[in-house]
Amino acid sequence: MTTRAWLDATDPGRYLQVTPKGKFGVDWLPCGNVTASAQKNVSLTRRTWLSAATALVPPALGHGASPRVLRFGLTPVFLDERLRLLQQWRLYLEARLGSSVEFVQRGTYAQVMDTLRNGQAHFAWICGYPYVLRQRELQLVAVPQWRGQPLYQSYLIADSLSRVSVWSDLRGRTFAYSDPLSNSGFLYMQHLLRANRQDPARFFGRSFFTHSHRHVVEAVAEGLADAGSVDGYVWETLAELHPELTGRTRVLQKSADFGFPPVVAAAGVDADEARAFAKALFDMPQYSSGRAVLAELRLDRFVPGDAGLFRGIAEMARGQAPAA
Amino acid sequence: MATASPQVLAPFGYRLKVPIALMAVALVSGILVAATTYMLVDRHVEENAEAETRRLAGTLARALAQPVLRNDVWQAFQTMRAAAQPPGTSAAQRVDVVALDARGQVFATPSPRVHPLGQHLSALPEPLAGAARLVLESSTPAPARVEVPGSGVLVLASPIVGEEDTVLGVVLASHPRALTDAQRSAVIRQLLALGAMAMLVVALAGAAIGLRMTEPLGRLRAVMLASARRAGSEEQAARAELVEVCARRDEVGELGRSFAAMLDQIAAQQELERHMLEAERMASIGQLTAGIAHEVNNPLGGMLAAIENRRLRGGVDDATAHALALLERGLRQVHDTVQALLNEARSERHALTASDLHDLELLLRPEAEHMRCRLDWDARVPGLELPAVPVRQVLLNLTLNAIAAAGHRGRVKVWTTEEAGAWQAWVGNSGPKLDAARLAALTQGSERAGDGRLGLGLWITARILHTLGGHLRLAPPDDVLGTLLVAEFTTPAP
Repeated sequence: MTTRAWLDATDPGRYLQVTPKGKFGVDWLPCGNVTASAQKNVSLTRRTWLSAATALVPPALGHGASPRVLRFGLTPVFLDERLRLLQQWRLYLEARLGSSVEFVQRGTYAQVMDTLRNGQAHFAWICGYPYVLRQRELQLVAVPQWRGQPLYQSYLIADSLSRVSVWSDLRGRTFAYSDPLSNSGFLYMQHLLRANRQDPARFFGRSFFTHSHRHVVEAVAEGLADAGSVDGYVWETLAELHPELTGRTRVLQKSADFGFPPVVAAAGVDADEARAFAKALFDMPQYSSGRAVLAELRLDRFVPGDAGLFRGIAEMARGQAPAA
Repeated sequence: MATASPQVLAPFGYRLKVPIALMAVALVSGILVAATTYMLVDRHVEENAEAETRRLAGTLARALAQPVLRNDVWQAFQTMRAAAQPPGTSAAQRVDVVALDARGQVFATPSPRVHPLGQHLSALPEPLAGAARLVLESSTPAPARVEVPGSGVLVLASPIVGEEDTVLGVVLASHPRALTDAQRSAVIRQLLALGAMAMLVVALAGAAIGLRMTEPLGRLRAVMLASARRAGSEEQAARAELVEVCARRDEVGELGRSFAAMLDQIAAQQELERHMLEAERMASIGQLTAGIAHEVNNPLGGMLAAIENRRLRGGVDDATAHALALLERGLRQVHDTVQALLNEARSERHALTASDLHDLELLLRPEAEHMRCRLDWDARVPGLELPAVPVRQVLLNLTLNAIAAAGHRGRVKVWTTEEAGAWQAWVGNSGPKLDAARLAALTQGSERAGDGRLGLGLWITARILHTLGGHLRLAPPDDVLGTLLVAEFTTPAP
């Protein structure tokens, strides 16, 4: 029933969802995580509705006869299956950019990277590992800030029922990786083993990819794998949202800090467009709808980043055989 | 049940027996239906479970071909978990599923803690391992089925087949053959709850129907009790009620009609007895009157002859002549009166004639036809001179009793014989046999027949015969006539 979202003139951070009601009346419903107390039903005349709609169209990216659709690729560097969160984020971005926004989700990191390469996506939130691998093809747009820093860690987790205490106890066991292009879910563990003079291909008895940090946690919690390598930010977020799941796992080891998975633009994206997109992300704390999305993401904000943040990942990547 | 019920319910009337019996039948039926349903459910679940498990193993084998080829353990795990342990299924309902690779090692399973990845089939429970070996060691890909005797566990194995019939692995699915304990208790609980409700409804309906069925019987009973009490207004109300009962077309209506017919018969019998008693009384008075008149008539004739003789002798003075005339007139008046009495008595005492017997037959025919009873009448005038009234009364009474005893579509035969100064009237009927002891009791007035067939009438008949010097006896029955009574009349004493 939702037809369009408009910014609320009284609060630039709030947008309202328009649903048809009767012949001329409309219901103005607050969307996303706007507090319940802010909910109101106001019946307006058709003229009021049209004038309000016209006044509220933002200028940014609003020029042109047919505004383009911005496609934003997502990888499981966060809990990307939370559809309500995605809906909130999409509405926020559309309101700020004045364009339609579509999220592009694929089964693996490599497939999302392909969408950037072949123009199916303009922007993407990817892992630091593929960023350093294809740095020349990409524009760094923004980096999330989590717990005060644009940094995160890789967690080595194990089944809470197992007696494994250090990484070396995992020899011959079953191990769950996230994705071959994941820093925290693959590269770090490979680096750790190589740094300790172990052959990653032979150290574990059996290993497999789940292509999602959340699935790594599930695989370890279910006992399918004895241990797994997972994004620390995802594990901590899961611990808040689903403590019964993370409670069945145990963190064996935490890595050093790495640059947080960045938001990048494809090489062909116009610089103004990239800046507008970055600004929309940077401005999220200024709007209640943006703050709601950040709260759901458990992030502080998006900040400008630089390639130096990912130096550690780049060093580890140099020791890794080319994966993509 | 069928033999026990009458004894158990013996102390109760039909008005309770019928509803209770219907309730009992409903309860027993409900229990039998529930037991049958349970057995059918058990069998159905067993068949369904096997079919479902076979389908699950086959579907998973096809779905896992690509994950096994790509070594995608997580995809295989997700597929198997979704298929074998859909959300909402309890632990007892879950099917144990394991996928092995071509080397016979666990590739994926929704229960990794039970069957860890990489575990060789030799470490699996024997039924699973046996089924896996059957598939993996078979020259051509074919499903296998292993049933563990006694344990109720069935294992179905389906090969994971790649291109050119290459066996990539095997999917093993095992399930309990029949209902699990949890399912069994759930089924029993539901059967008990629903069955109890259904049985309650059926039992109440049965009781209601039973009460409704026995209600006419109760009305008939009330009518019969009220008729027995013979209280005026109550009897009238009972009569009205009886008419309603008689209008029914069922067995109760038949009973009512029979009872009404019996009441009518008893009333007719009573009326007949009353008439006979009156007739007898009148006959006795007539006999007495005739006797007195006869006794008075003879002296009167003498006295009148004496007065006539005195006149013929002459020498009668006026006063004597006047007295004689006065006496003569008085005596003449007495004589006329006596003569009139004698004539009257003589008219009631006329000898039995053919027309008397004919009248009697005319009187009895309608009664026999009313009962649809065949009446064979062959009574002939006796050579003896017998008084008409008592003979008619005896014959009438005996024949009416015979018609009543013969009953509907019965047969009554009346004929007479005469020999050695005695005239016998034979009255036979096709009704139940009457024995001598009972006849004696009835004729002595010491017993009344409960069914109204024989009653006071026989006692009166016997008395009339006794008065006439005759007697009533029982003749041997033949094939048709079960009871044959013989009234024997002899010549009355002069």
